[in-house]
Amino acid sequence: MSIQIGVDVGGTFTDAAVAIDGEIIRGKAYSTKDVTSGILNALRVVQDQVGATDEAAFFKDVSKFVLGNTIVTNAVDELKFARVGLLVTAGFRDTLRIARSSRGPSRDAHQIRPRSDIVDRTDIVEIRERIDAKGEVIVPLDLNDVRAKLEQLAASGVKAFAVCFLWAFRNMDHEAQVGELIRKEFPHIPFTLSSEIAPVYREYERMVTTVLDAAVKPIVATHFKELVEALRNRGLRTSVKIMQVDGGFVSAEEASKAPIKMFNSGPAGGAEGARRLSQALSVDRLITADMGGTSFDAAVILDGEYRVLPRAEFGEFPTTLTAVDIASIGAGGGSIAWIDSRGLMRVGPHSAGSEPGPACYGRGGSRPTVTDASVVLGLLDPDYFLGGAIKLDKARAVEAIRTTLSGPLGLSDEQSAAGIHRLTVHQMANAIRTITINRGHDPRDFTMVSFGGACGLFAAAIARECDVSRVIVPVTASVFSAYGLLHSNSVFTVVQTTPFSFSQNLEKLEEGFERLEGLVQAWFDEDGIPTADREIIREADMKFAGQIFDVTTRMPAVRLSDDRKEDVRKRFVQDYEAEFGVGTAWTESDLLVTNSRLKGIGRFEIPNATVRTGVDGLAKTEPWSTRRVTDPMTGGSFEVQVFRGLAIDQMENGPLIIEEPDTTIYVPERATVHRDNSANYVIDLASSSGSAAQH
Amino acid sequence: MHNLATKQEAEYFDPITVEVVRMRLETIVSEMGIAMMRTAGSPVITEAGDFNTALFDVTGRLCAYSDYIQLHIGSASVAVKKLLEAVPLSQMYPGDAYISNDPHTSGATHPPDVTVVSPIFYEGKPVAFAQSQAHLMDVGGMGPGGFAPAAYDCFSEALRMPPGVKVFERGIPVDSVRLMITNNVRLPVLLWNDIRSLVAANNVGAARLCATLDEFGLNEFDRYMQRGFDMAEDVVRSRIRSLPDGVYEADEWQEHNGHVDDLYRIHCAMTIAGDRLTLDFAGTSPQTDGFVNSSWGSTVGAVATALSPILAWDTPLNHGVFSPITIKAPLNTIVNPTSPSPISNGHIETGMRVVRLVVKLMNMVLSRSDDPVLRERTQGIWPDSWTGGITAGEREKGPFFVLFNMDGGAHGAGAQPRLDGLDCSGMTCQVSHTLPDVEMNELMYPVLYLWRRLDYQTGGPGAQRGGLGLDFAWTLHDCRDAHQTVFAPTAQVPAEGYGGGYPGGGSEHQILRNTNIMQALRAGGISHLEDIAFEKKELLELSAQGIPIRAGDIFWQRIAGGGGYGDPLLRDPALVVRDLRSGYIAEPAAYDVYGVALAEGGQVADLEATAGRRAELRRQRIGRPVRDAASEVELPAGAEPVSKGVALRDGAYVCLHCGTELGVGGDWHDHCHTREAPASERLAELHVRVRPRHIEPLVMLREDFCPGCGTALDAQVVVKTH
Repeated sequence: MSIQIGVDVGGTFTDAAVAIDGEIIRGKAYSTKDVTSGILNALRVVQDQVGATDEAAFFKDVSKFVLGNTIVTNAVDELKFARVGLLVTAGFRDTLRIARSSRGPSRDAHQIRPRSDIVDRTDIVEIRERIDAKGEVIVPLDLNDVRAKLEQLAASGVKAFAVCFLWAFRNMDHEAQVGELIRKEFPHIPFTLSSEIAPVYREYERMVTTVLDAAVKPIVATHFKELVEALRNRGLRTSVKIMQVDGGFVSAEEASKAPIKMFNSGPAGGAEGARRLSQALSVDRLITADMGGTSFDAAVILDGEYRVLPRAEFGEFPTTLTAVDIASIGAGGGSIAWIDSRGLMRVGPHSAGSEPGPACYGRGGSRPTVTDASVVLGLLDPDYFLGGAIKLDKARAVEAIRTTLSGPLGLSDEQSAAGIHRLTVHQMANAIRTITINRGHDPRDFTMVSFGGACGLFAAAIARECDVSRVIVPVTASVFSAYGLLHSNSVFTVVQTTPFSFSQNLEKLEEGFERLEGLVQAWFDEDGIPTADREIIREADMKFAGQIFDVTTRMPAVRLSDDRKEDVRKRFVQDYEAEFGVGTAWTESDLLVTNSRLKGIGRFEIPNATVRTGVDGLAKTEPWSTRRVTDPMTGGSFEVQVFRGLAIDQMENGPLIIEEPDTTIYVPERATVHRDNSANYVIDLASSSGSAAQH
Repeated sequence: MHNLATKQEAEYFDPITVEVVRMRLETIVSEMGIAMMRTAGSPVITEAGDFNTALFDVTGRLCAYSDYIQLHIGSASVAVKKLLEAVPLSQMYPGDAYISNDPHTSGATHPPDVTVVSPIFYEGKPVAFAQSQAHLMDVGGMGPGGFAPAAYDCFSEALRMPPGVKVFERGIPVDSVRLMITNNVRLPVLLWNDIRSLVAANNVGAARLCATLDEFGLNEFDRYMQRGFDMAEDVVRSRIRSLPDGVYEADEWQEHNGHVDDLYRIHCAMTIAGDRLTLDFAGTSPQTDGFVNSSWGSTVGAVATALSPILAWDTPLNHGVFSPITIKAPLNTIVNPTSPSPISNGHIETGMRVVRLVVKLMNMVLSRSDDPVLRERTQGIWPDSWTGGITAGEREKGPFFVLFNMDGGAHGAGAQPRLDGLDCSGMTCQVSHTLPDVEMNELMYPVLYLWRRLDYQTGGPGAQRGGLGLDFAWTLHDCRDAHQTVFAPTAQVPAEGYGGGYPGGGSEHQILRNTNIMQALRAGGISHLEDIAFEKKELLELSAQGIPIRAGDIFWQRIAGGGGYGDPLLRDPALVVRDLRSGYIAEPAAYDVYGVALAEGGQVADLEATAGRRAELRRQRIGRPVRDAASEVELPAGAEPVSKGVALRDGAYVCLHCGTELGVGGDWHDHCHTREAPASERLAELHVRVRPRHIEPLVMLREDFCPGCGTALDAQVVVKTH
């Protein structure tokens, strides 16, 4: 057999998507504290489906194993990581605290708080050294001073070192010397140098990135060692790959060298899944919509690729890293509805989370949430939540909504619930606007892909708000990130700040690219990626002289010589105006390059995979039952048909509900649903001119 | 929601739709802001967020406002109203855009804050205005960067664009206007590009509003927007109603006018009458011939900046919030000046002092509210001033540069009831404030930073400490000489604390002449001033222009901190130890100011010794044995709140910390044990740096202690002529 595996370890569930001789099988199990058992359980579900009884034989045939996980995401979000000793240039000990001002967008003085300390101020030491903007040494490094301070920090109990000197990316010598000293004299203490993890300008983000990387190193090191060993003992031969924040995977060993890049690897898998889906369906432009219990994530696939964004934010911290561009807002099934000082309803940003959870969970939650609204509207069947695994208590949902909302607002319970639903839809539609309109794209040109347990109830309404006319709920929706991981590629990104002006010879820029290319080629060789599967993408962060922010643009995949200058300039103006509008380019100004970036891609794709839809033997085209729902967007109340068990095999008209064990889909009026060749649900909405007259 | 057009006859408002319309309006102004940030060139816009975007209706009422500079609520509103007076609506067309920057005629905060207003048309009719404003790098005049401390009139300050100058006509740039503008500024390409980005932001606003009107229908949208105004207004009115009626008066003082080190009085009488609030600035100094006069737009904006977080922190910012508020200011005063008075720094000097004054007045009245939520809106005062450093010159081999150093916005915030003031917060109006990186400034300008750190001499002591300001120094690098402009609006009259919290430190600039800095660096670095040999040290005037700086000199700037909240002897000892270990307070301050004794080698507080030390300090304050003082105090039943720690019970003022009866009648302060000393001297004892003022009027610190327990109940900055 030929087996490839994608596994996404989430907070609640561990999802698996496994390709066995080109057929994709899904598996799902509860996540476990030790992570490994959860993974093995999810894979057990898959093995059972294909009747594979010999576990060792199964693992032996695995040629690709890609893992997405939340270990780094959780560590950063919860600020639970190792104590770090930070070495900085003398005179600049407060950089993290100054934080370029952590004022934020609130005008309420009670909401103005500093960013959390990621290093204790007493663990930050100043080193006498200084390099200037040109990379020249102004103050020489004194290794005796460094040694004394490292000893102090080690004695006080720090578990990792981070080194971030000003301008270290222009001249790495001082940091390299410190690194050498640590390696020699403190071999048991992991460390991160800013010139290695983040060789780009702006010391605040660089310092944050360096510290966070050092802080998760001790956690990650033991974690993956145990995991890899456990899998190896089961018979796995191929090396375990870990998904990175920029959408590609690297080996577990490589990942442990720069573990901060594992942040958000699950959602990156989702974007990768959408990329794959866009290829499979030959749809160039997709918007992904992923709604869970506490957050809603949206990303864009353009020309078959997702966008990556430099200077990504991790939790409350800006970093230097490039990440898949995912707009995330704190709106999910657990978001709480409340009445503000004007007497109007608001939803979120507070969430009931999973503990106590929505009122209808019956675990002590008394405040009305988005999920409670879905129950009251009849969109969710209280007896079939997660396939019946959790029984919902409709009476509690009604009570929470009645006490908190219906009374004060003078609305019926259904109207209040519809209000919660509408406000949620509106917030999510705004998130989608952020990543389309604000980046210069028209959402009407896009198809929406909906995944994540809670999204199916909202997707059609969100699409209508954004003038998107088609929604796809992939057959793999419930394990979509794992599906993406299964199909993902190996990516190695190197970046360097390389100040360059277009008044200079283009050969100078080429020199920088060639240096980076050397690094990428070495990585290709080391990872044993066959020549045929290698691809290199050149990118440059560019801006017009006088601008602050740069725009990433793809460079031609050829050697840059000076006669290509006009070509490169035109390409940039095109990219810039695609984003900001025709005529906005500063054509009178010089063009500057700040960073050069090289992406090495090792193709690991699985051609022509089909998805096993399973669950045979159920009656087709027969609604399973009917129930009364209130349409939240129109206020209409009617009896709708409820389909279960993949029962849809021809075009059906909304309103109707499709229930699967792990998700529920609501198809509203004036919409149709059918299943395509790959068994994905396709919802088509009537044109927007119709929608204006709708209600 | 789309069927509303058919329900027009009804007075009914769907409460969900009111909120949906509010969210939509806020999305539009926020998208305008994003468009501006992403296309603009000035770091002032992209780094410091020094701009605003807004939507107004055709009568000039504010519909929605973005999360950036709050001060511009005033200047933007005045700009739209003045445009409507200058150009009738009937003469405006789709694609038109009007530019203005003259504070006297168009309400601008100061000349570099350039506004573009674009009428929005729907189905052929003007329905709204999109407005964007940003601080542009240079608008001509005698001072690079548009600040002119040496100016005696507004004509020397900048190119002055009155309301009604059309910069785009039906979507096309007006070339004659462009040529006129760009010929008068130092960085013409950058300026024109930034104007383009203001127009682009307005275009985004127009397109998005029209799409929204398609969805809701014009009439229904208007009806719901008006409802949004009314609901915000109701909230503000009900909060004002909960404040005790009366007239409350206070002063603030503008320091230095660019020419002379005088103090200029800003006086305000605030009247609370039912659900109305009136601010009357009669009694304020006449306008002066220096650059500190605050335009009417800036004064209105300052009042909005101060009041909206206190009375409307949780409502949308629209016309309704400001309806219950009236502002009166006599013409030809420093808060409502006329031509030809210079005005290029009025907004961040006098204008910001108005914010301080209004917050101080609100503290007085909020502390008497019977609503505990409103009592919690009291706070330590923010320095609310922008400490300027603008350097202009030529690189050794290279072009002219203007370093408008955005580090200047790094003052600390006033302490809050439950939180320390934020370090490097920026001014109250600077929502979404951001500072530059050291590497950003060093990449773009020929300077080498020697240090940039928090200034531990600036946080106002208190149970909640005031936020710290920034302390940095640089020397020219790759540049032989340059000229420096400075202003330090908060130097001698610091930001007050509240309820026994002390004032924060002040700002200052120094130049160390002819140092050995490069040799010292090459020999192994410096980390403190003591490591540097220099010829002389110059403490610069509060405002000055054209000061030469040469290679080898060191330019040193320190920035003010926020006022504290509550008596520092009531601060949690663990927080004092953390501050001490982190270097956020001076070494001796833990014991001297906060009364915290240490144990275990300085790792933790010795609680018993701390209690003893605190009792001793309280005893020293009033010169006699003291009662125990509780830190958290509940208002007893039947008592009226008066100030933090003070209540009125059975006709007598009582200290809530110990129950001592202070006295009957009059002002409660008069019943306290009072001590008065020059502010700079007394604060130096508390390890807070304030610039001494040796000429009259003098700046004093008046402390009021409970005569029973010695707890500090108030610490006010008082300006006095003997």
